[in-house]
Amino acid sequence: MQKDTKNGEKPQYKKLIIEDSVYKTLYTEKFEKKTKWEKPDERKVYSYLPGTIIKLQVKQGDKVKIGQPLMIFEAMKMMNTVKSTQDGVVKDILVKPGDKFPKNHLLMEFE
Amino acid sequence: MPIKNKILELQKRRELVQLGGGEKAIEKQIAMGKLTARDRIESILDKESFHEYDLFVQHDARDFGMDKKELHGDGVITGTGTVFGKPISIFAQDFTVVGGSLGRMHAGKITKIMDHALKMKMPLIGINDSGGARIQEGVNSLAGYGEIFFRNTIASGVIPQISVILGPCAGGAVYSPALTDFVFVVNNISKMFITGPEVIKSVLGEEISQEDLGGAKVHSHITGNAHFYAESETECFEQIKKLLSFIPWSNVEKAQKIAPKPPKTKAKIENVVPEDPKQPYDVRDVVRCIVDDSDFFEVQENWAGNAVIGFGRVNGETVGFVCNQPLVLAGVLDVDSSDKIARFIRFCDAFNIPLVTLVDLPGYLPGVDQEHAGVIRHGAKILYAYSEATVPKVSVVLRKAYGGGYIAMNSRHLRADFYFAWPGAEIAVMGAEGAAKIIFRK
Repeated sequence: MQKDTKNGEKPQYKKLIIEDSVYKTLYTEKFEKKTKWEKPDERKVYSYLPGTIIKLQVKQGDKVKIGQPLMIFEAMKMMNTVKSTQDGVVKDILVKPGDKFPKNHLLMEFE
Repeated sequence: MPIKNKILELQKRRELVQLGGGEKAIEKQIAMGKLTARDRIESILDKESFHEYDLFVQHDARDFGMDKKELHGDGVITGTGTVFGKPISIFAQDFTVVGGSLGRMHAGKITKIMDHALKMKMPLIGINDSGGARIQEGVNSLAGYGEIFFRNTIASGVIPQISVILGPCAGGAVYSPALTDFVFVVNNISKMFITGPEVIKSVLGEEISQEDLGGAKVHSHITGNAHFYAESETECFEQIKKLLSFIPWSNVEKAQKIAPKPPKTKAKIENVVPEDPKQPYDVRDVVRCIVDDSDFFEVQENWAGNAVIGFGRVNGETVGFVCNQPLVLAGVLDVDSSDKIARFIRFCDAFNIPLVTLVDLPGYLPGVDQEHAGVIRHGAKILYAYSEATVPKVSVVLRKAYGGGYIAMNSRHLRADFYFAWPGAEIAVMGAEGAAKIIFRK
């Protein structure tokens, strides 16, 4: 984070561009670690909570309607259902019952 | 029994209770690298000034075999004393007594000293070292926390409240420090989190140590929950006393004025601040050119480094400094620095501390992460805090004040009392390059 310049060492300045002006400065750890934003792919189903898969209710190749339950997972001591947000065909399921997963983990893909 | 014997008996009982959890537990506490609650209080207060309250309080839990347990002081030491000869109230949780767990009477002792502090308009120091709620007491212990939080809130902005985290402080307990004005942490000793490593492991399967989850470094460098970081308890107590030297005892007082001293540094602002607005420098060197004895006491120095806040004295009187820091992220405003600045302004405003704002910023930090993290509502806090503050407000534009950042950093429009421009200052809607591109667009 904030480095003291007293030790005689010259800090390694980096560039920060704000409205076409290029500033010489230091980065914070948070700034360096930030990930690039990507447009979410609607074909991919991500977990909205961390949890454990209890049961899959569809399989690869199944035709799925909007609102249809896809799987049940346990999170925060509750059973939660993942419902389809689209009509489509299941291309791939990336989890199996018993799997633990974090938030924003890829669970399933549509064709 | 003759009165003489009664007095002897009282003394004997006092000595026993003052040992807290007993010598074995004290040895364990020391082996963990921690001081005892009593030593901590005595290290902060003036010598022999501590006056203890409610030493003989006992819990009233009767379930789960608690009726057979005598918990000395019910796991917390409370009382008053002096710092710099001025009265102050203090409580310290005693980890040697059932892990400093909080039950009804434990909370009752704390709320009593809080009420007293508020009534007498004196600062409150709370030393947290507790395993959490005393489960055997059930909802009564949660009620105890709630009573403390309520008083933290009512006392906020009336008396300065200082929290010192010298052990675990987990679950609901963390909200009391979060409601207070300043939080002190010590490396390897302080631990704060809402849900601990065990819960995280069972729910998420993620393994993390207490230190990595909510240690002193985490809260002083990453979350910003802590304001002061120390390597040892002794260093921490020095920091507390230094802070107390800068702030008033309540919202109806002013901070103590001391004999003015010229700045110690030989540096000159014109040599510290480069002419080119794109070159970095450490704004703290500018503050040291202004404050008495070049003594600048920085708050949250390890977090959101693109803004610098802290206390110094000008002509012997305490002043709160709010500065953009061109050394880090070119001094931009973002989510974290907005929170940092706004909270500090609110403290200074509540406690009659004039504000000096050193402005040098290119604007807000661009980025999807910033927008999605709600930089609008976080940034708005600065506007609100400056607009609302009624203490004297002085700004100095050291180099550049562009766009929305210019308005936010205590501009005339938010009712700055005086707005100074250091020679070379640029107040503009944006930097020259960006403006030229728009105006001369083909």
